[in-house]
Parts: sequence; structure tokens; C-alpha cells
Amino acid sequence: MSELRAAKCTLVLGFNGTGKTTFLRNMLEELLQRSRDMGRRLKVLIVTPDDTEWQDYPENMLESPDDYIYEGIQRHVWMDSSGDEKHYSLTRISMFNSGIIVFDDCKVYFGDILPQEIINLFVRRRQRSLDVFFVGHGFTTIPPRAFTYYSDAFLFRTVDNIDRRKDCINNFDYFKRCQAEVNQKAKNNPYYHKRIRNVDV
Amino acid sequence: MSVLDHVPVSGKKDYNFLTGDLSFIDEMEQDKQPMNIDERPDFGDTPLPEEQRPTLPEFNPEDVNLSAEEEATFVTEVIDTGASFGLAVLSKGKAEQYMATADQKSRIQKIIRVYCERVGGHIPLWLQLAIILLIVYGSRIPEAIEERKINILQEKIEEQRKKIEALEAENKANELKQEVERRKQANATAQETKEPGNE
Repeated sequence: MSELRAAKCTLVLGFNGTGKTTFLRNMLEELLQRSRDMGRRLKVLIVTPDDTEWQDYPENMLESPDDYIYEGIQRHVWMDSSGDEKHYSLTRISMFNSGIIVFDDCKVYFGDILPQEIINLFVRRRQRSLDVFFVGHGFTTIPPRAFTYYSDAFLFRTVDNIDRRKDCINNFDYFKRCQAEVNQKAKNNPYYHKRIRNVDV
Repeated sequence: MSVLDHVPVSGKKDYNFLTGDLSFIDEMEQDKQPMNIDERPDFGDTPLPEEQRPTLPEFNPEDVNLSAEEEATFVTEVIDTGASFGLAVLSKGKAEQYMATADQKSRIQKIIRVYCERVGGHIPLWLQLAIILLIVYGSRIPEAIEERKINILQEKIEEQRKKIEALEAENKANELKQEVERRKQANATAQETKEPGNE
């Protein structure tokens, strides 16, 4: 029997053009292929702020309970604006279980304060059998709470001010050193990135 | 860890995953702890609560304290003051230039009076008071905002001035110190040349 693992909360940070979307896309495709090879069903939901990215994947607005059962990668365009539409996306997404959910460019629809429903989603990711990804351009574009609970981070080139998250990252000094390292190496390879585990202190 | 490993993905496309990426993917491939969780959510039969719309206070003829004429005068003044103020804020000009003329006011007043007489619409005194207060104090909000900006700026200037003063004092102290050092050295040199037997 293979070893069991914990559900992950993964951060992907990097400026535009550093390759984080390409990295994510390839990683998700790789995971999907491996699942298929093992006869397993994997579902991935990518939450995007608008309709301009991830267009090669089908859209899923989670309108019915059956929309939550599928195999493969699908995208959900966050329904912004006020009133019932915003409530709609939040309610629907908070009911997503068992699989991978990616909050791409999450600052656009979450701001700095995560809705309680989303906090519940990644705090209870183990019970919900859910791997959660937060994607942003830098440290200030990912909600502080996500740093408190992250298990892994992929750091691409960013000069965003990491000190703004000093109180949230428990291995802050190491993280900061990694940022300096990545930015230095990105001068030769713009797509360079580094994996940081929360156990690295 | 910066070794680049070439890993073709099912022969379809090539992406150079780094070693750290691969170890992450390997971990993700492992099973999670099984949870008996229903992927299909229960939307439930209860519809979302309807949006509560604010209701206007009920009209009570007993609340009438003013005649139609008095009400018309009041409402006209409110409209004129409110509208001219709004236009002044928009243009950053003066409210007086946007006020209606006496003739225009008279026409507005007449129509409102007729409305009040025919329809029986009355504005309760409490609402009239609220409107007046809003106009009187609301009109001062832009002024307060500007004043606040000025005060904040003044505070910053004062802060900068103090910093400059502190820096100047420090510079002066340093210069003094250097002067003392220079004189000491000069004295020492002078002493050396005076002592006999120096070669």
C-alpha cells in the first residue's frame, strides 16, 4: 500500500512572463496523465478572474450538482460585480471537494481579505480531500492567510515586497533568501523558479 | 537545486521540470487519506433569501403639519440648494452661480404646490429635518476633506523640518569634533618641533 500524503496548499508566485502559467499547465497535465495511467479520476478546477486565459479548457460554472463530477481540467470564471453574482461564485466554489482547485490571479477577486468560505476550504482541505493552489504576481497579491497555511511554494522572479508578509510566513528568513536567489538566477534564465517547502526552516 | 531535467510528458510536449518540480509531482501522485466525502453537493430546496428592499415610511395624513404652499416652498428650496451645490462640487465652482432665478423657483414651487393639493402628498417633519441637516452639513464635507489634506500635509512638513533640524545639529556636532581633533593634532605637532634633541 503506497504511502498516504497530506492535502497540499501550494502558492505559485511570480511576475508576468516568468512562466508560472506554463509551469502550472504542464504540471497539471502531467498529474492528469499519471492519474489516467493508474486508472484514477482526477478533477481540476481553475478559478480565473475573466475569460481571457485557460481558454483551451472547458468552462464549468458549477450550476448543478452534476457539474462537480468530472474528469480532467475545467475552468470557472469568477462571477464578479456586486449582489447575487458574487455570492454565486463564492457559494458554488466553496462546495468543491476532492481534487485540485487553482485560484489563478486570486487578488483580483479576493482582495487581501479572504472570504470565510475560502478560508474554510483550504483549512479543511484534508477533510475535503482537496489540494489548493493560490497563484499571484507577488507576495502582496496572495492573501496573508494563504501564507500561514501553505505547505509548498513555487517562487518565480518577483521583486514584490516580501516584508509585507513578514508576520505571516513562519520561515520568512529562508523565504527571503530564496527570493534573492531566484531573482539573481532569473537574470540568466527568466523562467528559473524554486520550490520551497514549509518544512524548510 | 537548480539541475534542469528534461522530462517529456507522455511524448506530447516537452517541458523542463526542475528537480523540485518533479519531487512535488511525485508527492502529488500519492494517495491522500481517503475521506468519505460526497463530491456532489447538496444545493438544497431552500431558495436564497430575497433581497430585502428598503420600504418607504407609510404615509400618515396625521403627520401633516404644513400647508401645501409651505411644503412647496420647502421642497423648492431643498431642490435648489441641493442641485446647485452638486453642480458646484462637480465644477469646483461656486454654488451661487447655479441657483435658479426667482422666476424659475416660482414655477417649480407652483407645480409642487399643485401636486401636494391634488395628490395629498406630504413630507413628514422628521424627513424635512433630515433633508435640511443633510444639506447643511453634507455641503461641508468637501471642505472638511480639503482641510484634512492640508492638515496632513502640514504635519508632514513639520516632521520633515524636525528631521532637517536634527540632521543640521548632528552635522554641526561632527564639524566641532573634527575641529577639536585638528587643533589637538596641530598642538601636538607644535610641541614636537619645540622639544630639544629631536632629530
